[in-house]
Amino acid sequence: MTTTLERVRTLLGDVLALGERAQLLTPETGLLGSIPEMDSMAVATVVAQLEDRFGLVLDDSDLTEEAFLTVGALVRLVDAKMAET
Amino acid sequence: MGRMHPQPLLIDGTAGHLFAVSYAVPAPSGRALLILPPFGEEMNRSRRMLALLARAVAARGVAVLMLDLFGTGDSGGGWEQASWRQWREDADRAVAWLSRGHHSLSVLGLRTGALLALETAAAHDLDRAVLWQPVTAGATFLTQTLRIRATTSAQGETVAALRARLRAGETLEVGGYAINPALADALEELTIEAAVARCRCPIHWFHLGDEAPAVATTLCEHLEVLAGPPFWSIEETTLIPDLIEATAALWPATTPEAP
Repeated sequence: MTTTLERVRTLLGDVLALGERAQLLTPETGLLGSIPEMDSMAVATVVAQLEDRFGLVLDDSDLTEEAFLTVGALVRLVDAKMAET
Repeated sequence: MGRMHPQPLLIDGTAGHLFAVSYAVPAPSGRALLILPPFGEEMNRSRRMLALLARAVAARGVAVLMLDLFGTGDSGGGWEQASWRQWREDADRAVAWLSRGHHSLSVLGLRTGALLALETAAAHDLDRAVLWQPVTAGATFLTQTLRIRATTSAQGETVAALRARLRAGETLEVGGYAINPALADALEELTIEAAVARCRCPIHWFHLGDEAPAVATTLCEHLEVLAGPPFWSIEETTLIPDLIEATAALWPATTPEAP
């Protein structure tokens, strides 16, 4: 069974075109403000992919800056929203 | 037999000219495919994949027409004139164009184009509708599109506020494209369930990812899940040969008849 972390890692790798670097992402890896590929346009695409891949609906209030600071924060957002549905 | 080159052409649409690219075949088999594109930047980012698909299908003896919807791409009109109703009429005109000399017509659409493809297949009783990663809820798609503007905006715009402005009659620019209120209204109402319900022909649904949405399994008999990234949303040209091959395989290749 694929974990949320693995699926988020694949998602980020796909959206940000990270190639093999996707495998190096850990929960501590910084995203917003840390990797150049994660610009504001990428955030919108990442959110759309999270919605599509995990079957979630994310609204403005879910999309805090904190949620995008690290890979782990994003995983926690996904798990929290999945628990809601 | 020489290689056939894709031909650009203009079709008379109800609001103005429609730009299309035709992939003719040396030995006509009576089969044809209409390809309907996705919206906005997705159209830009999927051009190569759709062109490769067109070639692969044409190589099997199926004539292909790739259409730019009114108000998009190289077709006439501006963003104010793009509407779902207009796009339905554009697809109708394209079907009429293709039905000259072809008796077996199919339609393929990517993302929002897939919803349009289902409606087109229903309206013309086509042989087959092929869906590439259909948008399952137009409202969700609208949210995601507005979010592009909200996250890149310096003015602290929220999706909710942008949506309200659309409802109030304002056309909004989003990432180099624009959404007018009529198009937004149509998107809010579109669902894959309704589109599939109207379509009587076989539907082939291709999903890229590790797991298709539950609605795909419920609605569609012919669902194929393939590994690969969402090429329509990735800036760098991303090619997925497996998807092209699996889709083209829907049409048995014809061998040219002996003279």
